[in-house]
Amino acid sequence: MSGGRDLHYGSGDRLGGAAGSEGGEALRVLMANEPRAYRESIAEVIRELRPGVEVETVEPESLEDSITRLSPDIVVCNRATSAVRESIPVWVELYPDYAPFSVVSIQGVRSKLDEIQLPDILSIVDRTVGV
Amino acid sequence: MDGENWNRGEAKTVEASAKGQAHILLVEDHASFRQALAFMFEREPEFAEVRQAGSVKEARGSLEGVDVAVIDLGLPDGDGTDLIEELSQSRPRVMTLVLSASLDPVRLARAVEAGAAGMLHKAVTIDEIVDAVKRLKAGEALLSPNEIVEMIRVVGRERQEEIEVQKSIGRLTRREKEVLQALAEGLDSQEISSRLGITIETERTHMVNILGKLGLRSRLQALVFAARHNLVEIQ
Repeated sequence: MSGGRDLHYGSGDRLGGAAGSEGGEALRVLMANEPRAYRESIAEVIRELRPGVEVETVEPESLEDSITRLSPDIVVCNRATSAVRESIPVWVELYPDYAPFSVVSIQGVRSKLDEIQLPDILSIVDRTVGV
Repeated sequence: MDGENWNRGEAKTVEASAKGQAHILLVEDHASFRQALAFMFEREPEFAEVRQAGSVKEARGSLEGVDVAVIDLGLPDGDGTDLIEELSQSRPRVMTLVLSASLDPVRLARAVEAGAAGMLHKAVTIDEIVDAVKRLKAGEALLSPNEIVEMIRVVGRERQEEIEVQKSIGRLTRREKEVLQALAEGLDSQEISSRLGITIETERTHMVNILGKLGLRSRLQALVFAARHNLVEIQ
C-alpha cells in the first residue's frame, strides 16, 4: 500500500540501472497489450516521464502490421508472437492471461517478474536506450 | 500509522475537504496498472490523494477518509465484492466503482447488490475512468434505477437457480453419486456396472433416475453438471 505521490519513477530497479540518454533516433515503444485501460495508462506515463520516447498504442490484432510499419525498439503485449520474438530487441509480456507475473526479454535474455512495477517498465525503457 | 503521521493525514484531509478535493483509493493487484492509474488521477486537481492497495487486506487498512474507491473484483486474497459490501455497511458515504475485466453479468450484478455505485470494464479509456470517478465524487449516479433493478433481478434469479440445483443434488442417492463419479472417471455403462457390482440394466436405471432428478437429457450433460457443482473428483 502506498500513496501514489510517494512513488519514485526514476530508473534503477530489479532489472538493473538505466543506460542513460544517448543521441540519435527517438526510442520507439509499441504497446499492444490488453486491456485498453492498462495500455493507455502505462503509455501515458511513459510519454509524460520519458518525453523523448515515442509511444504508440494499438489493438493486439494490429501488432504484426504495426511492427512492420513502426519498427519499434520495445513491444509490450500479452503474448509475444514469433514476429515479436524474432525481430524486436526488447519485449514485455505484460500479465499474460491476467496472470500476476510478466515476462521481459532484453536482447534475448528473458526474465520472469512477479508483480511488475511501473518503475520496472520505465527502467526497461531506459535500458533500451543503450541496447 | 504512528501518531505524528495520523495527525498529518488528518490535517491533510481537513485541508482537502475545504478545497472540495476527494481522496481516492485504488484497489488493484496489477501494480503497474494501478500505479499508472494513480499517476493519471494525481494530475487532476479534484483529487487530493490517491491511495493504493493490491489486496483486500491492504485496502482494509487504508479506508480512513476515502471518498471514492475504485475496486477490481479479482484480488489475490478475496473478491472485491466482499470489500464493497463491507464499505457500504461500515462507510456508506464512500462511493465505489468496480473496474474489472470480468464480463460475467452475475458477478457484476452481485457487486452492485453489495453496494457498488458504478462499474466499468477495463477495456474503457482512461478518460472514462477518471470521468466516472469525478461524477461519483460529485454525487452523480452512474447507474439508472432500472439498471440497478435489473441487476438485483439477475442476482435473485441466480440465487433461485442455485437453490433449485441444491435441491436436485439433495435428491440424489449415494449410489447415484457413485455412478456419477464413475462416469467422471471415463467409465462406460459396462465398466460402471462391473465396478459397482450391479447389472448393466441397474446402471442404466440409475442413470435414468439421475437425469430425471437433475432435469438433464444425456450422460454428457450429467457429467458437466457434476463437474460444475463439484459432485465428482476429476483426476
